[in-house]
Amino acid sequence: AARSFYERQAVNIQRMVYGAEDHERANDSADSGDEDDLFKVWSCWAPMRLDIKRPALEISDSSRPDVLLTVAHDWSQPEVLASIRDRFVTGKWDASSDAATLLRHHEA
Amino acid sequence: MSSAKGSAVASKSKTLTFEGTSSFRQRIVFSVLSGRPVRFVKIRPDADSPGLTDYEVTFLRLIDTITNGTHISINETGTAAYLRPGTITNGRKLQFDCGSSRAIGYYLEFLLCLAPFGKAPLHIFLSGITNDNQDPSVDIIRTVGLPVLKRFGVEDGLELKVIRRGLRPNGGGEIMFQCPHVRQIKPVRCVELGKIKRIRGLVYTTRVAPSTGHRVVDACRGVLNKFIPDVYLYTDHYSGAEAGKSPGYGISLVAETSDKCNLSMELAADKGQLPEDLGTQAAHLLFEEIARGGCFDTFSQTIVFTLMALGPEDVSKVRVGKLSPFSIQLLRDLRSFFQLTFKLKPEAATKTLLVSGMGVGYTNIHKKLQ
Repeated sequence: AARSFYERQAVNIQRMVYGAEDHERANDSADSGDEDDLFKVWSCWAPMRLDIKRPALEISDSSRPDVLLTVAHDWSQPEVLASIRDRFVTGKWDASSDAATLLRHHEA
Repeated sequence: MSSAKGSAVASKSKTLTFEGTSSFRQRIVFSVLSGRPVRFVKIRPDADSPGLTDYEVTFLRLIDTITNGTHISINETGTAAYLRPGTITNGRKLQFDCGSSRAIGYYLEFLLCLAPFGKAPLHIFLSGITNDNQDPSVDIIRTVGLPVLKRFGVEDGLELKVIRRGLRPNGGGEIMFQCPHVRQIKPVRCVELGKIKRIRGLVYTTRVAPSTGHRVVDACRGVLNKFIPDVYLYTDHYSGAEAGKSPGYGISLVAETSDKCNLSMELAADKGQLPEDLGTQAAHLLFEEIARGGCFDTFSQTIVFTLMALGPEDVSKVRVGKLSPFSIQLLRDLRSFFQLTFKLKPEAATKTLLVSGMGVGYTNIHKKLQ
């Protein structure tokens, strides 16, 4: 069941990022490259331009989102620290490449 | 501009039109790389100060500086802009003032994606704000961004040097950036998470007591040492002309894994913030970044995805943590400009995302084969 859940999620992420409908490509236009086009009335396109994501991004054109400046977890808690302990060389490795296992292997 | 020439270009490649200026930089950069003209309409029409902001205009000026034949037009109120890209020429000893609205990182970040595809190597001096909390700082671009470029095969002569620090509000910093040009970048395969083996950091202080730096280091190391003994934090004190125009201090941290991936975090001190608080907060933010997982951190996603897209027609595969909203928009824009989609596959066990796909096979015709 867990596997099927993640398989379903895979499709969802793909769809979340790229969207079920291609609204950006709708904006492609064969234009004449003439400057006067800047002042043309674009009203016929209006319905295609709905993009709910836009306002959020308009605030800051930055690759450093606010999330990078907020501490979401309480890192003074031992269990929170334990959650990333295995990402360090000092943490637990796979059974095959664990430091203790390797050491025993060398001694044998 | 002759309209005949304009229509000839337009018939080859269709103009993309966007409303507003969200993701302004990436759309312009993709426009230059793909050769497709781009138009922005309805730029803040209802705002108190309508039209393009000064930093957006500055970004356009930067593009104009490193390219030749680029045609940029902005209407009278600044609420519409059009760019028809030329070729990337780069050049030597270029000077560019980034102003004090946005940090140098705002401009430099996308320069990393453009410079390798120029007619000549790039050698540019950028002046302005070197560190703030809004854009990636020059330190992170140097310690994390440049190694990413090296992975893609952009290596010889790649250099970034901080000549003067410049902090908010007045700036006054200066950096030198040098980047070689390549014929084609290499595909990248980076999926092994690896283990973090060392943490390096840089604490800069300008126009404050040098002891401030040591206080930040002590607090930060105290937290980081809970995990790993190999922590080295440098202090870099700037005084006199090298210190720019504003006082302040800040820190950048890089966790290096056994597979030579870098996870980074940075923080500039707020007004009145204690050095000890800054050090502790910085360490915690690095833990947050580590907890997000992935071989590339949130900052480098931009460069990684862009260069993956421009790579040869060969499969690149990378593992990232959480996609930031900025990266999501980047992926969408890559599709708009290059008709390119990546395959995104979440992995349950590590809670990370595998991103794979073929590049468009971008070849820099100006660089001769060796």
